[in-house]
Amino acid sequence: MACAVSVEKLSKTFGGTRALDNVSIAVEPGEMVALIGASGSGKSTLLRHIAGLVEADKTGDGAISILGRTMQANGRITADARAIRSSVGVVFQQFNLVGRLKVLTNVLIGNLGNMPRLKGCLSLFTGEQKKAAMRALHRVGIAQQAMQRGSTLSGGQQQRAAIARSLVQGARVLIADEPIASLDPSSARKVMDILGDLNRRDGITVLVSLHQVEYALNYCRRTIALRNGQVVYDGPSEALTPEFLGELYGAESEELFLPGLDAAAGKAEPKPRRAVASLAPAAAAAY
Amino acid sequence: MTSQTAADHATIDVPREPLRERAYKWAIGLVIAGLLVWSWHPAEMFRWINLFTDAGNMAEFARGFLSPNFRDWDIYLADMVVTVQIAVWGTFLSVVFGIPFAIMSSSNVCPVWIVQPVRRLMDACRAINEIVFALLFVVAVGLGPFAGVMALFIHNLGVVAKLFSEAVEAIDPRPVEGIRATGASKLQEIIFGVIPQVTPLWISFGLYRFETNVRSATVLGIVGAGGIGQLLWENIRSFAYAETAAIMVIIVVSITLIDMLSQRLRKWAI
Repeated sequence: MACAVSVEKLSKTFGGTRALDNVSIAVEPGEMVALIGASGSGKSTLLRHIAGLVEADKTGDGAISILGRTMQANGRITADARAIRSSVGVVFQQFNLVGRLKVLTNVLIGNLGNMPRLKGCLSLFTGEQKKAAMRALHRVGIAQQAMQRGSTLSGGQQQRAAIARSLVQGARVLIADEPIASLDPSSARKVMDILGDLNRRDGITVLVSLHQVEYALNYCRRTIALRNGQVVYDGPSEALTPEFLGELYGAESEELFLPGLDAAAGKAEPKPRRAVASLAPAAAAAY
Repeated sequence: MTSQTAADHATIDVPREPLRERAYKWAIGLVIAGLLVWSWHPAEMFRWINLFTDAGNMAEFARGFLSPNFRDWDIYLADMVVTVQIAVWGTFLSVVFGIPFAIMSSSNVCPVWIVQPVRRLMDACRAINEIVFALLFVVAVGLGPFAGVMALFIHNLGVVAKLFSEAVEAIDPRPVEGIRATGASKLQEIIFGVIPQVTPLWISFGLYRFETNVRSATVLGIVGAGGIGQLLWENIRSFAYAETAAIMVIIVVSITLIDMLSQRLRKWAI
């Protein structure tokens, strides 16, 4: 079976700096993988390449394929990219939605890749598509806000609307670029719970970049760690003890822990793990 | 405040403005003065004295204007309404056709080989005054308001394309990327990502152009392109100052009303 996401020997240079340096990763279908690293380690750059929004360096033979279809090769986004993108949901750190459009319209936009172009341009969405959009909004818990403008939603609600858009897209792969970085802890947990739920119940492959390693430990079995554009670790999340992260990152590792939790003390007990267990059935019941 | 002593005050100097900044200010002043001197003679500014030596003529003018003759007010008003109607169609056409040109001259949406030619074409539309276009269209389609509509349309096409594309170039690209990531086409990115962001500004610019177009349309009649300008010109040429004054009052009142209305609408749009 083809990899859900396969990145081979990808490099990207901005000006003189190497943002990605010969990165190769493979994510199997159905996995939920965390991508961690300090600021500037290349997490966002990597995810933007996978989403087909940026082209890699022309030199070298880097390639990215999604579910067996090539998104870009040798620094060129393929002609297929538009079709492939429609099977990949993307959630950004912020500014996912068009603020002046209704939340429902923002979610309906997920259909554009899978419908005749002219109908899409005229926003002729069918009743069935609208119902599906409402179901998706209900599932992420913001059906009440469907008729509000996107800009009126809180940060966490905007992230959830973006996830609903991916659901409407019928995405088999979800890429989330620091979806919880600007959220308060309870909104962050809600967003991560929804991502976990999509992964478990719908078998959607999730690749999520996180700033703090605690969330990786709690939600993802596997973690890929980047440093200065290189993969420095790829394996089970449990192995990422503070000592090991200290080895990988040196002084930078402090940045990777939630403030307030004493990283130096060694055992940063993952608190939210219990919350996952209690919130997941609630999300399931809501659907 | 009590902790501050007199000594503290004494030791703090007011920093001097750096030499560079002072030199800069002087340079700007010199450039402006130079421009004014350079233009003095060609613009015949030395004739300022005539304002006073020929004050008698001015007084005659003023006397005529002080007693406006509204006998034919209904004709003036009817022509003023036509003037507004010319502006309505001129604005509408220039906005409708200006939108695609605005998109095509936005460097963040279209590649440079489209942007540059379209921008130069729009520059040409903008560079030529409505009156000149009106003269051309009077020849092409004959005397009357339609020539005026076409003149406003072509000139404003260039203005609208520039104003609208400036709004497009200032959008936030991030929501547009979100739409691209769903597999939407380029046109759909523009429809769902770009246009909702610029709509309020576009409405505001469109209304502003309407105000401007009503003002411009009041002189189109001078070259026979319809509207109140024709009456105005005829009355000025026949030294009928009282009638000219009446027409001018009607123009001023109409323009003021339209400006107020459109300002209200603009606030409401944003």
